[in-house]
Amino acid sequence: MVNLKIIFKNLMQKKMANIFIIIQLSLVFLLIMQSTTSILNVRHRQNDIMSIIKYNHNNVVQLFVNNLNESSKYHENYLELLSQIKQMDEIIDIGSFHSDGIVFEELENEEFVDLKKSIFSKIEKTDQFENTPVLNALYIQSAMIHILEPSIYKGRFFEIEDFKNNNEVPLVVGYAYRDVFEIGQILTVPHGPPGLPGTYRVIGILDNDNYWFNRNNILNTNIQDVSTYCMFPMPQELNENNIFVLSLNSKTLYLVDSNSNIDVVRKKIYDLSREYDMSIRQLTVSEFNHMKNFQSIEAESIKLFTSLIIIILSVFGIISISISKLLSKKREIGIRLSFGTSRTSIISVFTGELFILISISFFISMYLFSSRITSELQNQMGELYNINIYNIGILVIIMTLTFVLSCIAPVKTIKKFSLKDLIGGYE
Amino acid sequence: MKNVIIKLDNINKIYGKNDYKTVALKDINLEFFEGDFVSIMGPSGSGKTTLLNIIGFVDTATSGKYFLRGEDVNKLARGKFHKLRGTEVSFVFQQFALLKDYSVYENIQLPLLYRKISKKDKKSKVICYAEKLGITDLLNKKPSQLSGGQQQRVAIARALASESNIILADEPTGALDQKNGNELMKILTNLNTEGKTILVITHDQNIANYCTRNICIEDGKIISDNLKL
Repeated sequence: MVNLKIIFKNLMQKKMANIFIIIQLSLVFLLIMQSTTSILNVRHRQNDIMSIIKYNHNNVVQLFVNNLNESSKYHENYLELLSQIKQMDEIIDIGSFHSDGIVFEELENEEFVDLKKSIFSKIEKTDQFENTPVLNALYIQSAMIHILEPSIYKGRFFEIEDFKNNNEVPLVVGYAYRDVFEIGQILTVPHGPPGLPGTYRVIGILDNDNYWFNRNNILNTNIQDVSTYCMFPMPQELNENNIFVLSLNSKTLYLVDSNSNIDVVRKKIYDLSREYDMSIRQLTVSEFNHMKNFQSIEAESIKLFTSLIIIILSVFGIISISISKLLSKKREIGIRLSFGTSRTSIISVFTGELFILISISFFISMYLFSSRITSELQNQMGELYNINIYNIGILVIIMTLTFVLSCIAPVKTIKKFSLKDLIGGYE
Repeated sequence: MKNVIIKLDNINKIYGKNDYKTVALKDINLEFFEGDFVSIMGPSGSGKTTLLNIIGFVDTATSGKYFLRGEDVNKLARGKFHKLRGTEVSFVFQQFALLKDYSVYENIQLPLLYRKISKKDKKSKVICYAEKLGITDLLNKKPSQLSGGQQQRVAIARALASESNIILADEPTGALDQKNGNELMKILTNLNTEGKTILVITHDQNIANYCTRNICIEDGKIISDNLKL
C-alpha cells in the first residue's frame, strides 16, 4: 500500500515522460497484436476452408493462363483447349464463373434502399451501397454445379436444364435475401447484364454456410461469403465474347476424378496447352491456399519481426528513461535507505512504476485494437482481426518479456548503489 | 554505571586494493554508553565520516568487530542492516536531506512508513515530534518553503520519529548560521537529557563544547578521547 502511494506520486511527477512511454508502447503492442492476429487468422481461415468447402481440395485445380491475348486466334485456342480438357477421361468437369452486378427493376425504389441497408448493415457498408442500385451477381457455368455443390436453404440449385436457353432465367439468391425474395418470384432486368436482359425467376435460396471464392482473386484464402450474391447461368453468348473469355480464363476450375493421379493429369493438360501456344499454370485448391497462406504468413512475419525490433528499441528506451529516473532520484533513494527502507521496497517501487506503464499501454492497445476505427481500417484492408485467447496470450507474453527486460538494468543499478555514495558523505 | 551501547573493537577500514590502498580507519577501539553526547572532531579526511558510516550501518569495517548492545553486528546478514538503520540509529545530515517533493509531514513520517503500526498512530507520532520541535504549523509545507533552521528541525523530528536511541549527526550545524546552530545544539542537548545517545561530527569547537565527551581523530586514529566532568 505504501509502495503504491509512492508509485503513483512518482508517476504523476514525470507525466510527460510517462505519456511518451505509454504512447510508444501502445503503438508497438498494437502492431504486434495485428501481426499475430493476422497470422493466427490465416491458420484459422485455412481450417475454415477445409471445413466449409465440400469438394476435395486436391481434386479441384485452378487453371491460370499466363500469356493473355485479346486476339480471336487466342480466343479460339482457349475454347478449344477447354473443350479438349473436358473430353479427357480423368476430368469430371470444367467451368468458370464471373462476377458482375445486376439491377432488378422491382427494387429501384425505397424498398431497395431498405434491402441494401438490411443486407449490408452487418458488414458496416450501408453508406457505401445504399445509393448504388446494383446487387452482386455471379454468372455460373454449368460445370460449376458439380464443383460447388452448395447447400440450399429453400428451393434448389441449378440443374443442367437451367443452362439451356429459357424464357425465364433461373435465379438463385444468397441467404441475405431470404426475407426479400420468394421462390417462384418474377423479377425484371431492363438493361443488362450483357446478354441477359429479360425475366428472372427465383428458383432457390442458398443456406447461410456457403463460402466460395473471393470476388477478385476467385480462389483466395479469403473465401467469400456468397450470402449477398445472386447467381444465374452463364449465357452461351458470353462465351463468344473475346473480352469476357479473357476475363474468365484465369478463373477456370476443373474437377479431376479422385482415382486419377493429379500430377499426370496436370502434365497432360500442360502438354495440351503448349500445342495451342498457351502458357498455363495449374494449382490445386490445396496448393493455392497453401501458397496464399505462406504469402500472408511471410508478410505478417515481416511485420511481426519489425514489431519485435521496435519493441527491443522501446525496451532500450524504457531502460534509459528508468536509469535516468533512478539517477535523478539517487539522493531520495539514499535518504529512504538511511531511514530503514529496504532495497527490495525501492526496487518494488521502480518495477511497479514500469509495470503500471506497460499495463496501461497494454490496455490502450487492446482498446485501439477492438475499436471501431481500427475495425473500419481493417475492413478496408480486407482483413478481419478477431481478438481471441491466443493473440491476447501472445501479447501478455510479450508484455511480460518487455517488463522483465525493462526491469533488469534498473534493478541491477539499485542493487549496486552504495548507500554512502548515495547520500554523498552526508551532504 | 551506564550500559555500553556500542563497542568498536580494533576496527580498520581500508579503501582500494594493492598500490591504491587508503587506510581510512586504523585500530579503532571505542565504547559508547547509553546517554552519551559525543563530539567527533578532526580535519577533513581524518576518517570521522567513515567512522560514523560504520556506526550507522551505512558501511562495513574491513576488519575488527562492532558490537551493538553486546551483539556482534558482523554476524548479521547485510540485508538486515536496513532494519537497524530504521530502528537503532537515525541520522541528521548537514544539508538536512529532506525529500523535496514531499511535505514536512511526509518527511517526518519517512522512518515510520514500513512500520506495522496504524495510520492513526503514525499521525499522532508525527504530530508529537513536530510539536516537540515547534514546527506543527509547517507540516503541510514543502522543504523548499522553509528556512535552513526550520529544515534542520524537520530533519531532527524525522530522526526522532524513527524512535531509535542513537542519533548520528554529521555536521548538523554546517549549513546554519551561528544563532540557528546554537538553537539546534540546545535541542540536541535536551534530547540527550531525555536519554538519547548522540554522536555529532563537527569542525566547530563551540559545537563540541555542548557535548559531554570529545573524541579527536586524525589519519584514521583516535588521538584523544576526553570526558567532560
